[in-house]
Amino acid sequence: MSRGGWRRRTRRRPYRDSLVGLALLLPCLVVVLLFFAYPLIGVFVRSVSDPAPGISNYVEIFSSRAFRNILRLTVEVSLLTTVGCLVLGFPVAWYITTLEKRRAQLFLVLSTAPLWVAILARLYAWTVILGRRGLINDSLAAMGLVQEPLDLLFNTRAILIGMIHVMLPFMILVLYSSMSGVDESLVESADSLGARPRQTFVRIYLPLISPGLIAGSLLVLIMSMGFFILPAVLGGGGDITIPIYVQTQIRLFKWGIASAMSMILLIVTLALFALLTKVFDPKSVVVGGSRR
Amino acid sequence: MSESTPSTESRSLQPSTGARIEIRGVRHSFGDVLVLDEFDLTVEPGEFLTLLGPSGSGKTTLLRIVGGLTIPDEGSVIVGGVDMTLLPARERGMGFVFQNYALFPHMTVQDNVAFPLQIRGISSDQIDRDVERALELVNLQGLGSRLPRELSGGQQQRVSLARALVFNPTVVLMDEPLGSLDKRLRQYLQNSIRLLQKEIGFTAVYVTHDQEEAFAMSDRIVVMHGGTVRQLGVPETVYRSPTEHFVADFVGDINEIEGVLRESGHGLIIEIAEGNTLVVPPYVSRSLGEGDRVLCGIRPEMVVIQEEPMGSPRLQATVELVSFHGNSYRILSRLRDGRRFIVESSSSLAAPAEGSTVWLHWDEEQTIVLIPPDGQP
Ligand SMILES: Nc1ncnc2c1ncn2[C@@H]1O[C@H](COP(=O)(O)OP(=O)(O)OP(=O)(O)O)[C@@H](O)[C@H]1O
Ligand SMILES: [Mg+2]
Repeated sequence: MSRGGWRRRTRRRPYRDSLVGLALLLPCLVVVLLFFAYPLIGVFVRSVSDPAPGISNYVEIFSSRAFRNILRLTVEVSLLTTVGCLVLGFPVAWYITTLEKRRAQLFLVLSTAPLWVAILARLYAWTVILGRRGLINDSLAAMGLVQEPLDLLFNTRAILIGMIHVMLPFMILVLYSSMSGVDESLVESADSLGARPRQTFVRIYLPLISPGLIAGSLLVLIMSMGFFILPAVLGGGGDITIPIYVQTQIRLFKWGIASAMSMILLIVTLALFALLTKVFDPKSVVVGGSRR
Repeated sequence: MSESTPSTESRSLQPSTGARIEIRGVRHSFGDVLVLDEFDLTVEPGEFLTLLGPSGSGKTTLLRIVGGLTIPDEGSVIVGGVDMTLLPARERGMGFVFQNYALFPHMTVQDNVAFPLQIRGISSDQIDRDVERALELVNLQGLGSRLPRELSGGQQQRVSLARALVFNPTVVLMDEPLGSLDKRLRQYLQNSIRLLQKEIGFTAVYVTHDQEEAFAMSDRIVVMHGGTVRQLGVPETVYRSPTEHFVADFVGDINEIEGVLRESGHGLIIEIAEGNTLVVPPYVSRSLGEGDRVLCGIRPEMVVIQEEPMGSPRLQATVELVSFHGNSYRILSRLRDGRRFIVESSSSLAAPAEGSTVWLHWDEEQTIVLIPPDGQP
């Protein structure tokens, strides 16, 4: 009923309401246009004009074998990071929803505490842990389990560990917020209708939190695709992802190639985004009936 | 949606014989709060029993304990002769209707109602037939492909009812299922639910805090307060012969007048204001004697208003306010001792003028006599 009243009011003054909407959007719009759209267009223009007009940059990139490896590595690491965060974050987020409010808040703060520490500090901490003379190798050697120190650092696995570590808090936050919105009576209802826990989980719980699963995965995936500093530090220069490659090209003043590569990264990211949202259509799912 | 009497011609779900529910010595607390205290109750097979009580009296908690959603601290729940106290809800096979409907928002009406059947591994042909019949039963044919959010509150409520009935439970538990609906729809669904229950024969435990709803639907009513049974009985008894002040007051409006027991020539009588005397019901005379105080309750609709005194008991009053309620007038009056007195009279009779002096009469046999706890008038 109240909703009907609201609709009626918006219908009465559509012009004025849309003006108000525009005014509210304006600051954000300016920022986006100025600092996002404008540079993006600049990058695109550069990618087809530097050093010479045409698509030579793209041709060069796509004809190189190295590029294909870089692209594959970038996508692979990002996808694996996403999966890793889902697998590790899910139980944590779920556990927090079972706690009473005060403790849940504490656990949320704790699980996101890494976000307060500067990223470089955290990455160098990992080099200390994973290095040839690092914590793990020293411990293993001291226990006599290995003769030669293991190569834990400066490889894809190290990148993956670091990525998951950095991204996990975001995943937990997003998952928690969607899990805590699940109406407990729906789960009880399934229970009273005879469903076993596994059936309730698959048929009721998962669909209800799927918007959170999708949002968390997309967030982690997109952030991972563009992550420069982490692969650079933990990969030790051996594993080149697209952002690292772009940075190298810029250092060589090859602005055209760097721009083209950036455009490709953008397109691949958007393509993955589209694919994921398509596969798990969030519109087919409702949380607590709140979506119309 | 049609608001006519629901159809029950279609003999839809299989008639089942309801199970007997025995609740024995159930005690439950949340933290320090004792919510149910030594609760005993037996619900007969096929009976429609209503738990009636104010907010916080433990109705939901008791229903959840019967349904297996809460495990009681002490006591046992025996259904159909089987001790189910520790059995999880999914193994009890009871239909549970939640106050907020609890429909699965991501499933269509059809899928919601089919859910308990799919869980039970029933063939899809059979499921389609059963779901169709269940939807017919609650008058929702043709809405199977809608999502819950595309339905009105009353329709959602009926879907949740259909879902709780579709698997032929012998016990159906309903927690204020009509709480958030408007009056007309409530009455319509009250009738639907009651007719369905009579037709199918399941045992129903129904929770409400609306006494009219409880009266309209139930075979018996349990009035609860503070986690204990205050009175258990058929609606008429609970209304006409409440055993304590709380019940008398909770199940309907009541005018209260103090009385004192007096020894007269032939036994005890009750003396009330203005020299009126009332007969003493047997349960009072057994426990009290000369000089003891009682509380006399008179329901507003028991009173007849007259301009002249005729017979007794009678009280003189001044009419303060007359309000029209369709089929009745409610007349707010003030007795000579300053107390308020509410009268409800049929609107087919003329209402007295505000400010006029009138006489209130009632049948003394119908007076509700309550023994007040010590120290209270
Ligand atoms: N999960 C819980 N944790 C703590 N206290 C609870 C819980 N559930 C109920 N209570 C308390 O138990 C008491 C009885 O609650 P219950 O829900 O059974 O009452 P009710 O009769 O159903 O009331 P209402 O008419 O408001 O639904 C209340 O005091 C309530 O605060
Ligand atoms: Mg309740």
